[in-house]
Amino acid sequence: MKTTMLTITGMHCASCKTLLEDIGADTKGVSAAVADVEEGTLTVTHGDTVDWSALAEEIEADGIYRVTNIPK
Amino acid sequence: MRSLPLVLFVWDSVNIRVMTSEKEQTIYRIPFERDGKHFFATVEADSQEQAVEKLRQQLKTELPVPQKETHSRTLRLTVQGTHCASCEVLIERKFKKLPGVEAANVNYRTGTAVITLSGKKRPSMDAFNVAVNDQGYHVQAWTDTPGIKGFFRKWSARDRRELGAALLVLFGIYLILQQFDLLPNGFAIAEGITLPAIFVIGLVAAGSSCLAVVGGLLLSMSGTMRQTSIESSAWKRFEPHILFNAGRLVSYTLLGGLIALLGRAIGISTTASGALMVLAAAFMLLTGLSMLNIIGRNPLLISIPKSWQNALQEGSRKKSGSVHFGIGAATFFLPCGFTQAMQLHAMMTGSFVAGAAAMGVFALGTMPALLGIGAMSAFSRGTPYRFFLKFAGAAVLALGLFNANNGMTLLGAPPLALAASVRGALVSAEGTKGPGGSGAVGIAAELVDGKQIAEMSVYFRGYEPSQFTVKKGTPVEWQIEGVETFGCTSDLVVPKLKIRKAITNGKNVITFTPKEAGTIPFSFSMGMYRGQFTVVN
Repeated sequence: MKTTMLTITGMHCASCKTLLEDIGADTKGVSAAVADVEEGTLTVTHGDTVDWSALAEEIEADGIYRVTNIPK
Repeated sequence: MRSLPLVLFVWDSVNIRVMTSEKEQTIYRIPFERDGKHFFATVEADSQEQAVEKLRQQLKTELPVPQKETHSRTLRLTVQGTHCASCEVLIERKFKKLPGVEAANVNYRTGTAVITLSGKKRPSMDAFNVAVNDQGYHVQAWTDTPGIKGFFRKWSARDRRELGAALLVLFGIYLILQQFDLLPNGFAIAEGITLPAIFVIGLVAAGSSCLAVVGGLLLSMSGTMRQTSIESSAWKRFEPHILFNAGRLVSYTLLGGLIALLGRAIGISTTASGALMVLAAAFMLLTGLSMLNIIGRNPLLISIPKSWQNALQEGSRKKSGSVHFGIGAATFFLPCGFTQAMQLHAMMTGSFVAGAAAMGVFALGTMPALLGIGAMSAFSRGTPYRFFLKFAGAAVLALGLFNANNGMTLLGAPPLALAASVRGALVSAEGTKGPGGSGAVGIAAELVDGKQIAEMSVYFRGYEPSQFTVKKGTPVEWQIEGVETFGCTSDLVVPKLKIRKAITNGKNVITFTPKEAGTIPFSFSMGMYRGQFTVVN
């Protein structure tokens, strides 16, 4: 298990936190995701392979958030 | 056989948003079925309802409503608690995970969810609720009230019970505060007053008249915060209250020192403070109605379009903290009698340190009660919180009326009829002391040496008599005997004559000549106690 921290802009409330954690947890290969609204981060606990671009795409899909560091 | 010639599948989907300089235009895409074939229509309209109406007119057929549940492919729900675009996405995701739901479309402004069902089975209302209750939302069957949809809410029996209990508690507090009005004279703010005594005055002020102004604002803030920050931690909800009080402490200390240095009040004009009060009152009234679930959302809360949120969000989080700090700081200028009396005292000390100390200690004294309100709203949950919200809503509504009335008085307008009659009823029920009581016409001024003498005494609870009748064109000598000038009764304002005077213990004289028949209302600066001259020909 590894953890990766994504930096995300656009979070502003508790709904955002729940939403992003929900999106994170739904991504294949991710076992847990914790969002911090104040810091603007999503800390993802995951296995060896995660489709980062799919995750980022899902997060950015609604035009509210933007992921500023997408891991390769 | 076709029972209906046309079926409109109403979606809440907003496919295109066009921003023009004048307004936000929206193009709605409405799928419909005719003769067993499926079509889409794109309609430009202000609302979805309007779009459907336009399309219906175009097709010259009746929109079949309501569709029978067993056959309908879409389901409309009312979702309470939505406040932003993130809520939309979050609820949509939660709903889509329910078996039988193919798609969900939520509109946070109207609090509407349109569910597209995949089969004939539809999830129960409980299932929808379970999916989002944890996030602070509440789902109800769609209630159709044309025109004011989503603005007025339906009350449950529980709502009514809780409101009844809240009103009882409120009335009890009102009775207790009435006793506070009969505070001993020993509290009078005199020159040699010690800092501990000022602290005690702060405690009293925050528990009585200042609570009416500042507390109302604070409760509105809590109510508003509840609407904009669901499910954040208790500590997060308490933070703004700390900032609010910090703002008060800093501004009171600094400005207290400053007015002592300048030797004069840096108050704003009566008209401005009246306007400020009316504005605060409007905010309180709307928030109160919203907290009581009578209207859906405080319309004064500006809702930001999705597209702007990205641009704004970075700074806004930091800014919201300073907003609360700023509101707290601005309460220095709110016309609360105690605050103004203390400002006068600070002014008279003549030294920055003494003035700052007096105002700072006063603000400190008001803190326990004000922070208490904050703590109650932030740390209570479940049933106690719901009750608190009802109670606070009723209180905010009452205080809103009270402040609107006082603000209007400061602006020189006659008191609101409703509030005046309520107050009149209360006053006559109490049986006021002195001759001024509830006399409608008032005392005719006595003519001495070509001057009309109007004698008035100022007590802690108001002034007596409060109604005078004077003749036009003859100078009036208004002799004001300060018996208990303290708090709200130390700053006299006569808007029509542009007079503002600090009333001190002992004799105060104001002379003026009434130039036209009518009424000249006067009040103490908070607008709480009022009276008037009736000018006759």
